[in-house]
Amino acid sequence: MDVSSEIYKDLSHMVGKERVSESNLDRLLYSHDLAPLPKEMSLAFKTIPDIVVKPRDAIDVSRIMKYAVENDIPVIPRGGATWAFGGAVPAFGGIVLDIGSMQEILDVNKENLFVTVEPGINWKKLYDTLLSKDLLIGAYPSSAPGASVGGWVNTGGVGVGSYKYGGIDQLIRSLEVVLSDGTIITTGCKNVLNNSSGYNLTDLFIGSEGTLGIITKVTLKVFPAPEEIRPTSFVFRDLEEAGEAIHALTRTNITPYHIAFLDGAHYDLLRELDKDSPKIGAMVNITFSGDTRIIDIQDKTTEKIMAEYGGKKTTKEFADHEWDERFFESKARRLGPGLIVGESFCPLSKIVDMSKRSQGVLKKLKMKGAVVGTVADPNTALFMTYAISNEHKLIKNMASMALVKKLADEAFKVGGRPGGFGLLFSGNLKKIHGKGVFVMDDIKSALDPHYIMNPGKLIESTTRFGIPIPGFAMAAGMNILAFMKRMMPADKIGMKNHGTKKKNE
Amino acid sequence: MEQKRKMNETNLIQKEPKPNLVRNKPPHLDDIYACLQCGYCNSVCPIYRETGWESLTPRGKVFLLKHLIGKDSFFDKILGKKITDYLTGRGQISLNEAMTKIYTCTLCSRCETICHVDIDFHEYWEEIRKWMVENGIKPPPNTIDMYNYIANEEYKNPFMEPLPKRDEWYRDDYQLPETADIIYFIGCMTSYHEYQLLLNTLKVFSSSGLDFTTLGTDEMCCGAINTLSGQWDNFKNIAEYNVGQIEKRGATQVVTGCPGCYRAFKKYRKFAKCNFKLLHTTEVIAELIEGEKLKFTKEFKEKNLPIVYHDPCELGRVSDYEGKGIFEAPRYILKNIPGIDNILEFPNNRMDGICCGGGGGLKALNYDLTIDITLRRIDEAIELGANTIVSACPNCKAQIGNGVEMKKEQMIDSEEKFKMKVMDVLDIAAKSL
Ligand SMILES: Cc1cc2nc3c(=O)[nH]c(=O)nc-3n(C[C@H](O)[C@H](O)[C@H](O)COP(=O)(O)OP(=O)(O)OC[C@H]3O[C@@H](n4cnc5c(N)ncnc54)[C@H](O)[C@@H]3O)c2cc1C
Ligand code: SF4
Ligand code: SF4
Repeated sequence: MDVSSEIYKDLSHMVGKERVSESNLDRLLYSHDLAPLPKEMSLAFKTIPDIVVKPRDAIDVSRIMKYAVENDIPVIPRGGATWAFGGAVPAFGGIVLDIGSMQEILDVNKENLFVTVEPGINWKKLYDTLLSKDLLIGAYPSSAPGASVGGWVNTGGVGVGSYKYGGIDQLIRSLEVVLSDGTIITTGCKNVLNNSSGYNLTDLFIGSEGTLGIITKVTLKVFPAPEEIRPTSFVFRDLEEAGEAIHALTRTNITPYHIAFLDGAHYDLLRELDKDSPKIGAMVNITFSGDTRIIDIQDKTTEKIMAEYGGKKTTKEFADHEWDERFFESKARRLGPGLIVGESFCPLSKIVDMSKRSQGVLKKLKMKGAVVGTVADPNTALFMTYAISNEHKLIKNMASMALVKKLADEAFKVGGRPGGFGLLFSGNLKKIHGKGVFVMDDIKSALDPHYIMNPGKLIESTTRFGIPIPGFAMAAGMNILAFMKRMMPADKIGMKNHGTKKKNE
Repeated sequence: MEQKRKMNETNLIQKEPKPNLVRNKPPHLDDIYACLQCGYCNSVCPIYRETGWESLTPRGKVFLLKHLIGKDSFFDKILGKKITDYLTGRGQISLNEAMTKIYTCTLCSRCETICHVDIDFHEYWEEIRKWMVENGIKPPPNTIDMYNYIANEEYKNPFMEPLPKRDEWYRDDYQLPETADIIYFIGCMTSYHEYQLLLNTLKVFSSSGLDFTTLGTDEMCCGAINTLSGQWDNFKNIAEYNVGQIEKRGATQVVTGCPGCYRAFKKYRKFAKCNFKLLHTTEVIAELIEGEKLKFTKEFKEKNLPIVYHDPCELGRVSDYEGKGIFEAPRYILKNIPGIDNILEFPNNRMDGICCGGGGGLKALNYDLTIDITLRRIDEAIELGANTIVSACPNCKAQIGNGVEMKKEQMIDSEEKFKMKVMDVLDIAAKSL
């Protein structure tokens, strides 16, 4: 007896049976990303999709979109599902498009320095492949082994390498996008700059969280591989001094590849995990890339600047280790078990102020965590302050989510903003862009009149029952959670045996 | 990447078991909860590379386990599970389907190399299988058959081969002593399917003047498949039996050429007193070369050059996680063979080596999928320009050999000629004597 649904039959017919699944097990596994949404949330939002499809190319995606419009079914694009804002999580069920099935590198053009890739490829694989061909990808998220190229385009991210080469918005030459009616468009020019006049369609899709179209190809500019990538590390007495040193460095013409800062609490937590990590006040990791002779000069000057603020250079081995660890920021999660990350952008001139505020929030909410971040460009510091939570304790875990809201509040106070909106934080969009949000709304309606492109995200949070969650209600809710968290006893480390088992017993 | 999904997984006509997994929690719970779902592991998993489904990734399996052992939610309790299942669209997860997903894994441990929170996957996947079996969730039917054949006195091997056949390849040509310092533990794969490798190993051992013997027809399957498939209850008996046979022959060393046996023997230590040193054949040969007790004279055939070395997962990475990985001994032997000046390396080698496809008992569940993995490894060897793939494991040799045959079939109508030799380090050593 064939018990499969009509939609299963239709989609299988389009892309092949082996690319479609509606088993309970598969649907469950495509119902989440890194957002710490408790199970209870799957009643407010219908996070479990009705079906999962793995398209081969833009043609498949186009067919699926036409079908979805005809049948009024939401479509949710999903890359690596490593974002923590529920972007790839259905709000109303529907079709999850697993873009991981499109991972090909289509064109590597060394003559004019660009590559065209399918959006499902992860950043690390692309980085490694290009490096083996003497090319460098400008920047990548520190989740590079898990995050897809298409995902980072849609979250408009900055990451490792952004200080020198900019965020993803600076790296794209052109996109191929399938719109909600199935039309396939190209947004830029793969061979040359896409400046001059004309509405910039590429920018429209950057950071659109999959709400305007499905990206099916990405053309990125690339750079000649550097002669050397040289990590250096500096130990400081506290985050204040570290912040001042970073501020001073970013007021010079020295352009490191990447700058990261971490307070001592981060290393304290690693020690709790039995890791061999130093007891320090704060750490600044500065990585250079380019010609060795030029790095020599920059390295020397940087060391002088750091020393002026009390920074002591570590050994090369330590700095190399820190660089290797750049992908592994969330190890402390094991201690909870659980981790909440609050992402906020703050003016670089306020880096010291924001560090203190972030530490203050952790203290007020009685949470164990650490203030860490990177420098996105000479204007902007990106704080990724995290705290350990405990997934086993529903109420406490929910209350811990107040961290995200409180850090966002502090970011606003220093003239910055939170990052990411997704399923829960669309209220912030209005706070940042004011009436601009109405224009965004119009754009959304024009490109997605049936409201099926990743609905319930970014522009408007709506529960499955069609009840919109206005920004102020969300804020009020979060404030209540924060209040609850402050009333609860201080967080302790939940794991009894948190170190990994000893190798060889 | 053309991502194919292989759905010819053995159709399981089994009754849905009903264990209480919420109460009977699996071991290493910390690991399940530590996972942050970053998906780094997906990027290195050979199974994901071939299938592209989240349910067949380490991350997906961890999420699934967390779901299976999770307590009911607040709403489940007040509304009832049936109603919340309906409202959320979640539905019941079939435990047999879950089993199939968990077992679709070569146990290569590559996921451990990148795990964000350092999960010891080399132990973890085996422990989870054990836990599932203990909870009444049946492993793949073929592995149950193998378990029974091993326990059967007439076979003592997973392939249902008659016991007397175990030593028929060498019984008459080698008059091995009753007792000796070294026991060469041959293993079922080598005894029954890779007898060339068996004969070559015996040739090298004899030429080096080693004081060795075998267990002959007293050898019983090492029990690796029992541990890999989660069926541990007979393992203690197997360990005690084989250790007893070794003791009877007064040996102080056990040498095996099979990384599966090698690891099973390490596990014996938990069940029986093992008063012998355990070595892999390549370690013994490498030491003989170093001590100038073994010299190779014949040149390796030029037409089979260049060679590429494939690291068997269990000998290399997995053993490394257990204390000592064997990466260099096989390479050292190859470097000492006249005519071999250069050993090619796969782009992913040593700790980052990729499974040949034949590990973890997956062949018993989904053979086609294992061959897909093998074909990709062969393509990599072709791209490197290799004419011979060398390994140090009878399972790798058999699996890659089957892949090469498959590749030949695929290329039957092609203009290009495809040629690839598959050898074990010991095959090469024997031919160079
Ligand atoms: C350890 C860790 C470190 C991180 N570091 C960084 C960092 O340095 N910088 C940073 O910016 N972020 C970082 N992140 C967050 C996250 O990894 C990035 O935002 C990443 O780019 C998301 O990519 P993804 O493929 O996982 O996207 P997903 O989570 O799958 O999706 C993100 C959004 O994009 C949409 N989407 C995905 N693919 C497509 C497509 N092809 N077409 C249309 N829409 C699509 C989804 O619907 C969703 O709304 C980090 C996360 C972790 C866990
Ligand atoms: S052990 Fe190997 S096959 Fe199994 S999940 Fe890990 S990487 Fe994949
Ligand atoms: S790499 Fe480790 S932490 Fe990340 S998803 Fe895989 S198992 Fe979980």
